[in-house]
Amino acid sequence: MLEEFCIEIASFSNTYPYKYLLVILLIAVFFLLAISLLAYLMIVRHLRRVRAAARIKQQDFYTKALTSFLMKDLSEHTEEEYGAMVVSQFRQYGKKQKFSRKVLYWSIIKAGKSLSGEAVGRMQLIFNAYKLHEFASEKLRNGNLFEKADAMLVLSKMKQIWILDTVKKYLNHQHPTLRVSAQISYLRLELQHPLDFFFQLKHPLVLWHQIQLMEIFKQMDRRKIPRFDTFLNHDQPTVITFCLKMIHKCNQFYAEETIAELLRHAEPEVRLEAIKTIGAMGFEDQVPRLVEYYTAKRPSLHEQIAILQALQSLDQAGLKDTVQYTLAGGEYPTALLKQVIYSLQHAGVLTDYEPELRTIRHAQVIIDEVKAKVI
Amino acid sequence: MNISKEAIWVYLMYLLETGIFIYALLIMFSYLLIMLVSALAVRDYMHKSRFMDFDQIARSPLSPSIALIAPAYNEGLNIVENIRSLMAVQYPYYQVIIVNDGSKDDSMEKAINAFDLVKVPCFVDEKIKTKPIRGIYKSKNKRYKKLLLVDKENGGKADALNVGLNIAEASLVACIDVDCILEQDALLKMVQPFIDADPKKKVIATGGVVRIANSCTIEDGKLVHVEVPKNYWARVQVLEYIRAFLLGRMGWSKMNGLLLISGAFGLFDRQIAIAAGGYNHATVGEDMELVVRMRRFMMERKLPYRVTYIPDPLCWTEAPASFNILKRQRSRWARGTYEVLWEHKKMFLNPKYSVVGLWSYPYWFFFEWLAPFIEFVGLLYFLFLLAFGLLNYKFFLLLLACVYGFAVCYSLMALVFEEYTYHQYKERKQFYKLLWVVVTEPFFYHPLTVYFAIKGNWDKLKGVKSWGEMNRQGLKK
Repeated sequence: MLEEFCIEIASFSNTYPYKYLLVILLIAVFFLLAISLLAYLMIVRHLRRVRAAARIKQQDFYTKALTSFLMKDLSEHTEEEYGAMVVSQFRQYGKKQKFSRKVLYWSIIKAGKSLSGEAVGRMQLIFNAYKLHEFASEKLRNGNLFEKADAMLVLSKMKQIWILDTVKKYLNHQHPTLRVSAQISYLRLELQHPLDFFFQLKHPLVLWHQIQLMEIFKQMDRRKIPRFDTFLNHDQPTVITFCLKMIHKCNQFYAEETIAELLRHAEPEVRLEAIKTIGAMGFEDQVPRLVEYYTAKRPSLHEQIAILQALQSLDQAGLKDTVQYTLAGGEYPTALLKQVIYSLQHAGVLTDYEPELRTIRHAQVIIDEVKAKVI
Repeated sequence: MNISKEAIWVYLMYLLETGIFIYALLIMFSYLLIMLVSALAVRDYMHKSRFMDFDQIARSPLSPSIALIAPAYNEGLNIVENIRSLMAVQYPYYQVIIVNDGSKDDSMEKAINAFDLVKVPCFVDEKIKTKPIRGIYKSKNKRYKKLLLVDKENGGKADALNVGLNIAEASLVACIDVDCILEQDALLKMVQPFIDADPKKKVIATGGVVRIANSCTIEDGKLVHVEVPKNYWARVQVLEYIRAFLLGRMGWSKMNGLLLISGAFGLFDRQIAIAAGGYNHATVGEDMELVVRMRRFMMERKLPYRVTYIPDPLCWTEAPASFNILKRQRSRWARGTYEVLWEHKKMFLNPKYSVVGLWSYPYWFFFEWLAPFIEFVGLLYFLFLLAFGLLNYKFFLLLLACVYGFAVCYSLMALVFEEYTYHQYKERKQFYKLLWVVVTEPFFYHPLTVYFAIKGNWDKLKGVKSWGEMNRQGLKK
């Protein structure tokens, strides 16, 4: 049977030699691939189910054990005794050492996220007692970039100060995840000068990194929060905008003059953020500068709107001057016109003005109406 | 030199056979290549997403604002539930803009009554020209302060979305179908590529994976149980969507050559979308057209940018479960593809448009738009050989086995990707149902998609412009 088939195929291959060979080869490849993929899917699904069940069981155990250890009265035990207790308790699950250690590792990380104060200290004790720092430092030494980043975050959370030198190496790393993990770890571990690394930053601080760094500052003791105005002359515009946001967030009022200087910065995002910060922090002394910038420097639309919004909260007279200056000009983008009307309503000039639904088609009508009321 | 007619025929047949054969090999090779790139993209994303703490985005004052724009036409039956579902999304700063596109039913009344809406004065910056707006409504109830209802004259989906773009004040706009079910953290995940982008290489649009919600259980506008659809047509589309999103678009996103972000759910940079001219009224493929135009806008100004995709299942939609509705939808998609490719023909093999001009556009032209025609020609040729007794059965069967083997392997790879990423279909029974689809789909479903695509192009030639009725059965609640 097979012989006949081979003879048939051989005769066929004389007619279509290359097509035949290629098609047969592809069929064989696809057949083997399909079988392997199917087997892989079955095995993966089975393992996933088994592992998930084991993990859930262990996680439950660790969560309960961790909670009981966190609540325990420590006054009668030394730290070593406490550590020994933890180890002996958790060894119950020591049969599959690597797997159970991994589960405990993640249980501690998960629990650590929602803890603060003394509980974090105890969690560190458990972390050290079970030698999880060795597990993490192995990852930090030999893992891939993501594993390194992960280990750094965990070890810094557990206040393992000895990793600081390693962390410093990655503060300007090309890989963004590793870089920001190093920056977060540095902020957690370097208590004296946490922002020192800003001086050497060569990469922009993207918004996601800013969000993460801000989160670390939120958790920091307010007295230890550094001065952000030191970095307002940084080469990276994103670092400056981040510092401006932090200055506002931390109410660092002493930075007023330096912020006002940023109205002359070359980057529009920096100027815009500076205007917003001046308005939000209520720097009334900077009103003349804002008005001058608005009238003399022809700022962008976004800057114009931001200035009007800032003046709304700072100074009524300055606001009216700026609005009149705007209306005396020839061009009114709708967004600016909208802001002008809000500003006038805020200033109490247009209290009775209730515009109906308008579109840009009616812009001139609106401008004339507003002018008639204001000028 | 005398060449007999017979010899010419044989030569032509040989050319046709070889041409189709080479084309099939090329299409398989391109699919495999994109799949490999997709694998890298998915792996990178999975690694990276472990470091994304979405709670931090949810509580940060630095998170960018988002406007959710949902056009609605004759959605009276479900409009209140659909709006409630959109209002339940987690995000710190977002606004829901429902654009009633001149519905003839009681959509407006129902929404006004349910959410205590009143007409408000409002400025609309008509940067994109649209049909006139009749009124803008906001709620008196503070609980619904995020909701804005716009009533406008009928102008089609693209026109309604453009009104939303004009009205939105947020820096990012999410354009969605009002009947879609969004995952609670959909916006938190979708915003990630925007906030994680290098300021020098702006992300202008992001898409997320759309999944089929037929037979899934929905409670209070939230998806609570995922199930493989009972209906065969819908079930095949589950596999089709996994293939398209995880094996295709992720790869194109990695190469920065993605041309399509599904109209069901996409997040766009509002300024760029407006500057590029907004949605195009003249095509039924307005979702793809906008992405292509935004790309052209950036490339023609030499501005560095990215269009990205994320593999998270963020949006659940009801797939057509009947033959006729499926036919209408797929024919429309084929028509849309043709219209977009024709509109932007300048980009074809044009090095000025880098990856898009040299790879994405030709890929769409040769392997998406042209493929059904080549298949159809192949089928006609097969019938011709059969009719004249010229068919070489052995080679035919071998070729059939080869193509079938490839189709099965490709679908199995899609299931592997699904398993590796979000493992949505956990029950064994559901998995076997999908495997059954993998085995049967090439015989029953694929030939239909070829027919639908050809019909769509035929409709285009006939000058059909409408969307066609898209009545759905409704989701399980």
